[in-house]
Amino acid sequence: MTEIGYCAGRRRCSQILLAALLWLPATGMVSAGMALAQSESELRDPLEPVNRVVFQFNQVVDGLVLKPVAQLYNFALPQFARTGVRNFLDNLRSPVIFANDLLQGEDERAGTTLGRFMINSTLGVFGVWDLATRLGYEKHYEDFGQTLAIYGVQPGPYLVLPILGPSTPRDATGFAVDALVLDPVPYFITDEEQWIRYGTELIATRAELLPATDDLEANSLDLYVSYRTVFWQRRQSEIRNGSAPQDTAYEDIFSDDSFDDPVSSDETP
Amino acid sequence: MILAASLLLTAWFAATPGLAQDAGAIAFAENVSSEVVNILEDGTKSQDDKLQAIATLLDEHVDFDLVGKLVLGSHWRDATEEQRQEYLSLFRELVLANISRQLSFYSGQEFEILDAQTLSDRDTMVKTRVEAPSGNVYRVDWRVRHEGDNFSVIDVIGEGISLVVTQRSEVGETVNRRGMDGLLASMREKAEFTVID
Repeated sequence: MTEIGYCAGRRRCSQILLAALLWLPATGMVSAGMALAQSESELRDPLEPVNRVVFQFNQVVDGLVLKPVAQLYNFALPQFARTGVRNFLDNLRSPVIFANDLLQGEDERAGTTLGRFMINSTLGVFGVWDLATRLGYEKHYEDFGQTLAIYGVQPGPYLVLPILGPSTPRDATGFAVDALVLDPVPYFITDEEQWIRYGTELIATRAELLPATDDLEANSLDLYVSYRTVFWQRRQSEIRNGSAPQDTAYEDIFSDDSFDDPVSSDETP
Repeated sequence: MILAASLLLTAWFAATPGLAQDAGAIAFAENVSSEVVNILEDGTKSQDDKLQAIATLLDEHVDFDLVGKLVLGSHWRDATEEQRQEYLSLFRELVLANISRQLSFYSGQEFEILDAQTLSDRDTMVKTRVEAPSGNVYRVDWRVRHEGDNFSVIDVIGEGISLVVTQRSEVGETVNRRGMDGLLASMREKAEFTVID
């Protein structure tokens, strides 16, 4: 998921596409940067045989149900309607984001989330219109899995959950705490409405990820591994609130110069 | 006065090599991205001509051989000379094919350079922000290497996801499971679906 923003205070915001953007979906916007062999920050995968089975199951369910429904959703609704649905769902999520901002000690971000909720729930017509972003309060996401990470809880091994996909024990716990403890919305709506909300969230999210997953499928040499590394890189990036990889494992990749035995970069035989 | 100021500035840059390197990397990124846009928005060119021009541009500014080696990592040392050559050529081909695939989706994204961060005495991370017409905003970072007067792109990080890290995982796992020849076979298979030279 990506932040919806507004190009305010741009220093230089010209009509440009980067070569970099072209690479973006290749690397997958799906999900974060260090599933590297022999590094401390690697996401361990001791359950790989089981995970691969669940992954295959998910791929089948996705191909039969989720993906077609997501494609239909994209086809049936124009962009502005899909943006409205996304804004509405995210506005409902604001209390959970606010609670996690506070739990992480991020007062300023908590203020932004609160301000967004007040503006968008009223002037933004129940959250459908994201007026707050236009006023300079940019959207961000937080969840209890990220809060646990800030508290120093280790992720544990990689887990592929049925339907829900890539996760870890830490993130699965966070997901449950967000839904069952921190989220006040269920107290105000019926169970049926709650299921409609979850269902719409699932379809809208799948639809938003279509370009990224299509790309991953077109480019990957091993789709299971691609999903694992992309999930983990994305997750690490979310925990750092969007900054670039800063771990030593990442830097080590680029400091190794021991390639230049027979072949070196500037003398092609 | 201006001369004095510029001398002072030069002296300052010289005394803080990280800053000079970062300024160079930013200028490099601005230059490359505006060249890409010029090609894409050139109404006189056919789609194929555009792709060809982009491929030429990328060959000039992306160090495909180094990126390919970084992706292969420790397996590079175990590969034979022929395997290395074939790997590097397939790697470049697949990355270019992927880029040209993405190009067909170009629809006037807006792009802004945010800042730069010194990573080492030769590497700088140039941080940018891309806004699609739909309003979606993406963070894209470029790792730029500086050697002599030359700058080149050696990694691209979209929304926290590094091209090199991702490819390393895939390539590493494939070599572990199926060996270097198995990797080359998979890459050949992928390349068959692509048409670019």
